Amino acid sequence: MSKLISCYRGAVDAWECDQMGHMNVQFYMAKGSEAFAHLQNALGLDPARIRKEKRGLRFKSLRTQYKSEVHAGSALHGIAGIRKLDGDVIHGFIQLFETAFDRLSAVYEFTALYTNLQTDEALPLPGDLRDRALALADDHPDIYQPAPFVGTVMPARPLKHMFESSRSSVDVWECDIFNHIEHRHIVGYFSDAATHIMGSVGLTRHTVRSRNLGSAALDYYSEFHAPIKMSTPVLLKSGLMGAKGKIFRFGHHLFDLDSGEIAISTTVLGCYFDMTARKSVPLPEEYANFPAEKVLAKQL
Amino acid sequence: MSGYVESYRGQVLASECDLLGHMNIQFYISRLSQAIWNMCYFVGMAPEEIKGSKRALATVHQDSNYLSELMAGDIIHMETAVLKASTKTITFRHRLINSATGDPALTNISTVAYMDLTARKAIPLTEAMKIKVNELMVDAEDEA
Repeated sequence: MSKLISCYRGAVDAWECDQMGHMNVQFYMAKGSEAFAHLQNALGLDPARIRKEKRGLRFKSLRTQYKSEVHAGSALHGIAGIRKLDGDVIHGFIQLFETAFDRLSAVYEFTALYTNLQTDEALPLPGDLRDRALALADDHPDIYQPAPFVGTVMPARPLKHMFESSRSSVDVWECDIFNHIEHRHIVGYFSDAATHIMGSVGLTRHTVRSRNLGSAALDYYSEFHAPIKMSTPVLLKSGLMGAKGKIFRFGHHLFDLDSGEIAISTTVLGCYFDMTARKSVPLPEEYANFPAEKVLAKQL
Repeated sequence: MSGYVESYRGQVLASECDLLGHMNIQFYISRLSQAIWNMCYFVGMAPEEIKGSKRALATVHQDSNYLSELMAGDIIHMETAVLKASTKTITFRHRLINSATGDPALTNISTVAYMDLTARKAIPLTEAMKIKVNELMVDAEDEA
């Protein structure tokens, strides 16, 4: 019997698409989060239990690989599974497909911890949850599994030459019932920062448009160090980690300004593409002219 | 044979709940909208005509029964079948289900018109669509 879980079915709405003409990354995350709720249910963490016990799974790390664009009107469906248990850490995945072509669109590989959702304390897995996770655990050799994330990832420590790319506070409507920010909105911060990041390299919107260029995220890897909760003042700092061939690498630190701590550290791989041909192109020359001493890789 | 297919699967967000503490009705309709996009494919429309904004299924009538509350965090899915069809329209029966409990949360009957988005007019279903529509047909009396 298959250990895969049907976890999502929906579609891309027109208002979920950005200036690149495809679904924005934050809405991939929104759909991934909905899928994660169905995966929790399969593990015995149904919504009523989560609400009553105030305990559930929280991401410890999350990698998101974007495999193909989806556009307004695309129907999507998702599957999820458990790869393994490592002590109290659950390793799992979610995959979203464009239904019409059965084409893989996004892959989420995560580690998650059983957590007290009020105190944010990680807890040992309860017996029934462990049993279900073990029963569902499978290598899933027939299911795509990304190769390990390539290269350096952002450390959870401040680095020189990172700049402010977003500053905000967490609104009520961005949170779940435990007052944690929904992951969609975290990715929204990263997405909104993209234009500022391009600007830091010297690429204005006018320049990008005049060259008929779009930019796209290919691979995100995030580590979650502390919760981000309702009304928290947050600051996103970003920096160029490196650039080679067609791929740029940016790093983000999302700070909780109340505590001064880095709550999330994220590494983003991306590329530019021709807006007409929808094919990747070499990095703009501005990347070659970026001051070498400001590239974060020097500090890593 | 049941003609029902899964047309939506997702979750209720806290931000979708109102002063009454449950999901506001506008978000039930957003799930029906998501389901209709999926039904475009299930009734045999080509991806190119949908994504190219050439044709779509446009809702022209709805009748809903709200059967149970949905709370923030609840997981839900929708099943959809065809009740009847005319030259230019299809009438779907949707049932939204609490995935954790199996309880029905909503039943809805929606009539959609097959629409040419350039002419902005309803057009006849294609032969390919008629075949798929028949495959998804359920007996209206059984569903009453």
